[in-house]
Amino acid sequence: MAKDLQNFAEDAALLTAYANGDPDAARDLAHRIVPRILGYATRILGDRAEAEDIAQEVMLRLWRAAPTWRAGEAQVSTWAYRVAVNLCTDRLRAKKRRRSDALDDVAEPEDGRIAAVDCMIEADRHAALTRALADLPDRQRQAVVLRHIEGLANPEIAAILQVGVEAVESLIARGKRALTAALAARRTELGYEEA
Amino acid sequence: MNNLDDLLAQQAAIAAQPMPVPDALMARILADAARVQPRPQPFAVRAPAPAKLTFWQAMSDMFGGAGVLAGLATVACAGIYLGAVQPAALTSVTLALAGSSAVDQLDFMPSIDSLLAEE
Repeated sequence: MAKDLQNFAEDAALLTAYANGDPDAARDLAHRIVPRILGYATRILGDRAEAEDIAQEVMLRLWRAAPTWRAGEAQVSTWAYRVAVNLCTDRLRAKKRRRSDALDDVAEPEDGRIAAVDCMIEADRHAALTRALADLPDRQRQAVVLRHIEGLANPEIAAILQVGVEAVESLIARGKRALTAALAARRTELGYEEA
Repeated sequence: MNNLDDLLAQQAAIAAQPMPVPDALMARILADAARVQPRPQPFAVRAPAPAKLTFWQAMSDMFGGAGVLAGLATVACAGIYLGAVQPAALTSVTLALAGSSAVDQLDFMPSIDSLLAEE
């Protein structure tokens, strides 16, 4: 917790330095924020190129917000996640409008680290989870990913999604129920032994 | 479901490792940052306050320059001199031009009595 607070303060200090014309602050702040946003967008969209666009757009908005940034009102990382969530939501809606064959369009994870999993069945399981996540309603997927994969606390997720903490808990619970059902339907295929 | 929790935990462990950011993406982001970064404002140099004008400088400016002011002063002095001294030569010229009638006999502002008398 103390480390989180320190990180938040460092992010805010770097953003202030950037706004004051420090040429190195942008690089330092980008190295702190971009990997997280890129990872989140990749997991939500399942498309690395689109995720890179999202990360670039989030950072551009952050640079533009820097001169009027008021430290203490929002945490930089929370703000960045919130923008990323909104941009991902827009992309997903646009995708859904275009998409005719939903399941076939869900990309396998392009993250090489997942593909490099030695055991093929583990790779299948992660692919199944990715696909099940992709089938969740947008808000549920975002809540589950932020909570269980990004590891954020519920109050921070509530700030990002701009809902109450109870609503976050509800979204996560419903999302996990849907994921459980989706994986249970492929239980044998994924190599899980029957209980 | 433990299987789900296990899978999510494994994904979280993967996510905890920093995702490599392609150099090209970072270059684009930093180019954006440089493009929109506010430029430090140099200290504003305040223009020196205009020197306070003296009375004669102010008068000179008002009348269009020292030469014009000197001319006006000369003419004013000449007028006062002529009015006070009334040199004989100038008086004879005035009488010759105005004839015998004295200037003070001219009625530049006639009263309205004559107009009222017509009724």
